[in-house]
Amino acid sequence: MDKDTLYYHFANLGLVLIGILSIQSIFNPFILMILVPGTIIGFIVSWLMRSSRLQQVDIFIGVLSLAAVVIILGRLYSVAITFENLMKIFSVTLVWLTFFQSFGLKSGNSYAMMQFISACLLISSVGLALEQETYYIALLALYLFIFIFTMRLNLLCEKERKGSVIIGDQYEIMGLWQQVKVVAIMFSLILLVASFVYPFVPRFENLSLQNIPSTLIGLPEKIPLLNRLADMTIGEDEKMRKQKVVFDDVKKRETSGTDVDGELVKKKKEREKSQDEKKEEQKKKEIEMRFISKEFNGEIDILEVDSLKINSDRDDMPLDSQIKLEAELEFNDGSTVPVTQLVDWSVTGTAKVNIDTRGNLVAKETGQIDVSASYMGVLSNELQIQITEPETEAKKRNWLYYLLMSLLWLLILALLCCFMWVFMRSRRLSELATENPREFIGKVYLALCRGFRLYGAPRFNYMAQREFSEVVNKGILSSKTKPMRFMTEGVLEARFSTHDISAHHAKKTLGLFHEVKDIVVAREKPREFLKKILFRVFILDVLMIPKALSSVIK
Amino acid sequence: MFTLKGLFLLIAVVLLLAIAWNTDITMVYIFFVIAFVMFLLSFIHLQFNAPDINITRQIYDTAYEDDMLNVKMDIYNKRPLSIYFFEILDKFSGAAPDELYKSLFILNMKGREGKKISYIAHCYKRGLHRFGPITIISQDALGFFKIKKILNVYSELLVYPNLFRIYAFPVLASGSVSWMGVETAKISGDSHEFFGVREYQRGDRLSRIHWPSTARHSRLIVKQFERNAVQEATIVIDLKKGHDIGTGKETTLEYSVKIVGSIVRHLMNEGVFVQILGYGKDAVMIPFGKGEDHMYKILEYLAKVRADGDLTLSQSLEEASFVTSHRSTLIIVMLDNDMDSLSSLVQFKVKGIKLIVVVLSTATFGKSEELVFLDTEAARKFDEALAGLEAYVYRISKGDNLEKKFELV
Repeated sequence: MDKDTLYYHFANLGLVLIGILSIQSIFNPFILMILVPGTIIGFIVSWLMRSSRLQQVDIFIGVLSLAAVVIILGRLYSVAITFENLMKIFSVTLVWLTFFQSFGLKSGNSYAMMQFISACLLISSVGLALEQETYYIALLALYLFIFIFTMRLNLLCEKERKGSVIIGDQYEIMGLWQQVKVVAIMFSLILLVASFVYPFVPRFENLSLQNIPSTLIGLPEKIPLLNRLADMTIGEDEKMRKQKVVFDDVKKRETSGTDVDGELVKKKKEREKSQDEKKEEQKKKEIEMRFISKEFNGEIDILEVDSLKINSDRDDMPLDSQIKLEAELEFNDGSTVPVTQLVDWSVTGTAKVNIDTRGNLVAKETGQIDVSASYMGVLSNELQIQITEPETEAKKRNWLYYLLMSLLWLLILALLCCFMWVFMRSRRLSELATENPREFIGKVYLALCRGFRLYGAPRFNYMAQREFSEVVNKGILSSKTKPMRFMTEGVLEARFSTHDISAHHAKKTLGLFHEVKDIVVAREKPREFLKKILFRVFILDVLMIPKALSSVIK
Repeated sequence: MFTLKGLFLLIAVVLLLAIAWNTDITMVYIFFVIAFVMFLLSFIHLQFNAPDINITRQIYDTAYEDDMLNVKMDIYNKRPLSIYFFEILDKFSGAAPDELYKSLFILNMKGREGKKISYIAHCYKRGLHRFGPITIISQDALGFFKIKKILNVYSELLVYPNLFRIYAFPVLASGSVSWMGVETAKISGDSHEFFGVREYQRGDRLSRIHWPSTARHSRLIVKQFERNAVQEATIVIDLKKGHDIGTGKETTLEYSVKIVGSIVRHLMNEGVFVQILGYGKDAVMIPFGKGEDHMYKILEYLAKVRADGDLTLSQSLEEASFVTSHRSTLIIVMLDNDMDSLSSLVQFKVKGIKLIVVVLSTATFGKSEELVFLDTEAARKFDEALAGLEAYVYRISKGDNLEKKFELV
């Protein structure tokens, strides 16, 4: 067995799982339950099929991947094109692609694609801010460790795939623990240097896309999608500046009552008119609410204040959830002060909400609201927030749901562990066929005896082998008794003879084992369907050994 | 030099920085720093891991086609530092087209350490081939960068054509008396060495009667002598430019060379004097000779021969008629659409030269721009003309088992 390739294969699985785990909160838990074990099974299947893969499998995987991409991207028609939605759809597409492609891993390129996808998922998850920073740091550290491990192994595996002659002590240099040691050193070195470099990284807050020439020629305005993205990423764009002028104007009007710009007022009236029309359509009465600050900081000099800005972490929210509002005062000298707890909040719209002193907005009704704030006569910009229906499954979730989910996860994990155990056992048995054929023959026979217990055969240890064989032949195999008899003789030979037992004896025993298995499976007795399945499960570790043993017998 | 992975990492570094500046998310900054440091350290590691090594190569001078040649190399690391994960690419022009470069991946070499390594090279095609140059590719620990260094270490190898065993071959012309004679024609009469005695037959010369035996047996007994004679074979191959049909090893020329080489070996093992004529770019005639030296001289010529001549086979045969002696054998390998050459063969028949013709079925080897395949009628005429020559004919198609074709006479 090529250990390097095995490590490389499953190290890539580790990377993919980290990618999926980073993005897990956007998935329905049931879907996640298909994806995670499915991907693991995909990796196992592609490992088992690496030497004999049908051509049709590739076509099948390709078609499924394409179908998944088309279906998921089809959602773009029904959801609003926002940065968040796009990132989510992109991530979901990648996860499903990973799932399907994991069944067809073979070449170096397919592994590279998996690494690329997992990195994209991690970055996309960070962009969506789905989890806490500590969680991401843990994931990143794990990802980096496995990534270094994978890249080192890839150097060797790539050469092996291309038929290079490997010169040097492969087991000493590329042994698992040696690899882990080297990777740990490299990992530590990277983290150490990174911690030194990190403080020197230049930071810009809200680098405007308008500084890029392509946006200057108006490309974002021509392409709606880019326009929306630009709105999301540019901190202060044209629209914001216009709003600021309006609020400055309102501020002046409220403080002095003079200098009203006719055109701006006209625009505002038009906007209000259109909003009114919308409201009429909705046939909902607009409510105006004010939330007065309980704290006041008299030390702030209002004459130095340039503007008051508010922002929220989202612009739409389901009912019964909350949004975090933040207010910030900007002074003449460019400095800013957070004043979330000091401002008075004002809400107008068709939904009832509540804002506490920390700026947490909780919705009580669906609808649309405009939130603004004021501090000592300084008015802020206006935020438009859409309150939508709550997510249906969120309502249904109770303790039973969580119990069920936990049990299902446990079951899947147990099955996976079982499968892994069987897989490792079959690998060990394969190696045993050459290293210790005597023991191999005994173990194969034992596995068969284990399976016979389902059919009421007595315990193997309680009687002599030939007697056991007679019992099995009479009770289970009825007419076709030769393979079992030969196998028993082979076991006796392996156990008691003094002459050399080679790998070819092991191969012969395996052949007889399959013959006996076929006889048992071909039995035509009623109500044995479940027994036959269980029989196969009981002897699965031996069934997973390549029939020809060609990989182990050279 | 970037690898594809390195290029991706560089793009990722730039993108992460752009995203970090645009979103001001701390985690993205961390991602960027990690990616950047990985990129930087890989580059620094590459500088330390660049090998400075000496390589020498030892191989045999000659081999046969399809032989597996053991190539030995001595590598010496001149630097005091250990080097890891570097690749040695050795070019061999005589290997199969997709195996021109043999890759050896060295896991590690300690400082000032010497290593002896060897690998197997497949001698795919005959010819005078060259090993080298050697390319050393070293990379960083993660494979983001690599550098190449070329060492001009060359070795030459002559690959003889692959020969097959001939079990039976048509009887050659009896040959002429020669002072060089090695083969004896077992006939009574003109002879030099005593062979035995036999009963008198009508027509035997009286001078051959062995009187003491006659007296002993009371009937006429004659002495029998053996005659020293030499069998000669002249071989002509078609080296006209454009007459080599097919690709790779499956061409008419490759088949011709293989067949001629095998016939030469067989005949020389039988003691026949063989000469070979080839009118390629240079007209080459290797005159009659015997022994291993002569055979290897012919094999060397066959190893290097190319279809690059201006003379057609018909013209070559005209030239060959001057050096082909009476009562000898002419062996030619020709294409099955070469009617002109058949006409040229008539003069040999007239001179009493025995003809052995190996005809290659051109249609099975592929298409040729210069040659036109014969239609059914022309093919029939070709066969008739060939039959008229009373030549022994072998017909060979692409993919034939040549050993089987020359198994029976």
